[in-house]
Amino acid sequence: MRLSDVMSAAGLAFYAEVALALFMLAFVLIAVTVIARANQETFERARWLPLSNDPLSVGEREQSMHGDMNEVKP
Amino acid sequence: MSTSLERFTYDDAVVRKFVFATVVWGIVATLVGLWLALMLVEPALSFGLPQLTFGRLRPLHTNAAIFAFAGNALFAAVYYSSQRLLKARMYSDWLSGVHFWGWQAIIVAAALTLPFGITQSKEYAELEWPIDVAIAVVWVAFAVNFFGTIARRRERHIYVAVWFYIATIVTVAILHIFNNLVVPAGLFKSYPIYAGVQDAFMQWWYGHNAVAFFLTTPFLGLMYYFLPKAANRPVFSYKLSILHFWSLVFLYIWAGPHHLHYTALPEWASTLGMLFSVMLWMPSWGGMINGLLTLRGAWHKVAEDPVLKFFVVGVTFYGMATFEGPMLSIKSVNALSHYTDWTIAHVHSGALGWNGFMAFGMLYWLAPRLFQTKLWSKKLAEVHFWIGTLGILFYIVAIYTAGVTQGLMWRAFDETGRLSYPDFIETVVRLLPMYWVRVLGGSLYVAGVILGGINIFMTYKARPKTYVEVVHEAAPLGSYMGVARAFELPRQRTMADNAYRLRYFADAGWHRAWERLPLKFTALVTVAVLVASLFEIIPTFLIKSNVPTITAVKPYTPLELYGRDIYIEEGCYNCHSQMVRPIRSETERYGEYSKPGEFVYDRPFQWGSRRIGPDLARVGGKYPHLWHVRHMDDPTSTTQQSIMPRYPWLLTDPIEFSEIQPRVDVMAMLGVPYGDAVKHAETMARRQASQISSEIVQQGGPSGLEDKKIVALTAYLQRLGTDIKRRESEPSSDVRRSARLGEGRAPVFGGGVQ
Repeated sequence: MRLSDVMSAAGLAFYAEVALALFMLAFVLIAVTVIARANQETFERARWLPLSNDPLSVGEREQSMHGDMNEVKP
Repeated sequence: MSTSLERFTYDDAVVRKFVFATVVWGIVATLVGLWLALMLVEPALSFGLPQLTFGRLRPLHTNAAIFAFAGNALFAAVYYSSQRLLKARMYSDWLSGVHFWGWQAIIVAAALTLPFGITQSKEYAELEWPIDVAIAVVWVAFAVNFFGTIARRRERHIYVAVWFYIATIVTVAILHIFNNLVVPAGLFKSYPIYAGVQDAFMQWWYGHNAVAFFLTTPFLGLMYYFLPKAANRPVFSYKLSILHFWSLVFLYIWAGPHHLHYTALPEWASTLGMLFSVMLWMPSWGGMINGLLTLRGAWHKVAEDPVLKFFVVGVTFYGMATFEGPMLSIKSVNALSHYTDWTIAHVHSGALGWNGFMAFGMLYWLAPRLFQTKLWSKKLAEVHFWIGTLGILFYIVAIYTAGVTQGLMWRAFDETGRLSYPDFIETVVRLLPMYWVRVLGGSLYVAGVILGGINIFMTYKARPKTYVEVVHEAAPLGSYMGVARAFELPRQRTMADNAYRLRYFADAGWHRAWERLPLKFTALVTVAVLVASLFEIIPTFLIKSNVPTITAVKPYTPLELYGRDIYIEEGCYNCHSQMVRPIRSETERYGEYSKPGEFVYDRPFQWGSRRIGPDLARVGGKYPHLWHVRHMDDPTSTTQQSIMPRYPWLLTDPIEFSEIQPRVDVMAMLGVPYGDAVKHAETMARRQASQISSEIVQQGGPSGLEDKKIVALTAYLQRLGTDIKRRESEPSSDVRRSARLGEGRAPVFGGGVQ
């Protein structure tokens, strides 16, 4: 008996529904984790990560000093 | 406990390289696209050269746009943002170099092979096996470098952009490996281990997820890092970004079968693909809204800043494309849109709007920082933005119109119940004005890309003599985590030591050490992707009823197999499908609808994804051999208004008969029941070629074609769709032919699926 014989006889008509239920369950777990109060502080800190650690470019430095971003004339 | 700071720098040199590569390949990809758009209205622009035909150049355009332009852009984003988000220099400068130069070498190899017809013919996976091996090696170098950087990071939390990058690296690796499992039949030729329905399923599992995990997730990572940077505001909702991430990872991988609605793919797989595609709409729009709302309170900056303009329009196109995608996956909509230009418009709204504009927004933001000077011309960037936006709109409006027109004309019936436009060419000619508008839109977009390239290059020219290398300081992760370094497991087995051990585990030192590695996300992403894939793949491959056997279907003869390879080399699948859907307008136009069992010897499958020309699934026997000879020599000699290029070299290029036997051997090794034919492939091919050649002469055609490629291609085309017309008790034409030619022993062809 081959694996394809076993699979063919298994009757997997409900297969898609099982997959859907499994993934819905996983999604609910993630949603609960996201909403959980215990994680709020971490998320708030993470939200600012991109803005916390990059040096200003020359243009930005000058802009912050002079309040204007002029172009270099070609 | 001391928390001494570590000093480190970032590797921006590799980011600069990827920025230049993005610009260069962006220009190449869009120029080739423009050339292709022109060829659809002026086919003579192929100049009778095989390397310049639409069928061979279209894969070059798609590969250049996806893997060269978007690929280099996403690598620039990954290398720049990951180092800063993780507070660590890339793990290895050497691996960064291997990644950059290896990837460029792969792109050059693609550009050198695709125009010469060296292709696997699977969309976005056309590259032949040696290049596929190189891609795998370079991708591993990228992965080691990336995960090594994460392991050495100085920031405990892995920001959501990095999650998207992890998903990209893991999933692209899985997709690439499993869709490219082939058996080589030479240095530049291979056959996939999958056949027919299963090959189609694997291809679109790959094809859809290549869009998802190469063109979507890494660009979302780009959005979640660079949009807040450009707006100088944090992302609107970090919680929403997490839901966005996991929803995409869970849902995307299932959606591939929506590319195969109404084909010979099993109905359950098609429905599953549709269902998950529709569900994708919500998280996609969650992400789009998250991106746009990040600009809350900063909209006034958009008017002034071209970077934000590119990002806003890019994110808006993300929303449009991810609304349209689920809509197109609904079967009734797909019945109209599939194989038409509607799909092309959809793809280009995503590629030009989302990927293109996000990439250029990032490049304009990066250029002054990487080259440590001001952007050469902000005005030029504004011009780029506006003509690029106009270009996209001209392009997609024209091609949406063309697609809907095409779909409606194909299915139109008159009051007598007959097709209103039975001649396919009528539906082609009607689209030509819209194709001209596409040329206009494409020209504008290309002009914008070139202006962008000039702007970036001139910014580079204004760089300082030596770049200032900023030294950063941050605490090492171990000290930040505290307890991880505070305990060491004792070697003794005394009672006190055991208590110490308990304390170690109670304080979760092991967990923190484990958490330092990116295993958590990587493992979860891998599980999600693999489980979803296996849920779809296993039944498709292992349940026999999915591919019912048709005894009358026999393997291709050696000459037909060689002719099929010519069909693949010339990229015929780029314009012609081989799949009659069970829709009345199609069965009226083409004949009986296609069955899964008809494709069990098709390696690779040739169902195609669009119809610039008519479907060919039932073309066998429709015309005499001579019609095919004349048609390939000059399509306008048989169809006056045809936009198909000429293929005169097929009438002069010789069949390499010596290459046929190894190809038959590989097919036999893959389970194709060739029987004794496997020992006489060349002889059989020569005899069949001689027979077809003499029939061409009898029909009034030229002589001397018995060793020319046109004969092999004709043999293949004349075979298409004919097997199921033959009664099962009737011997196959191959058997008859062999017997007639005095083979002595007829090839033993087993029927059906093995």
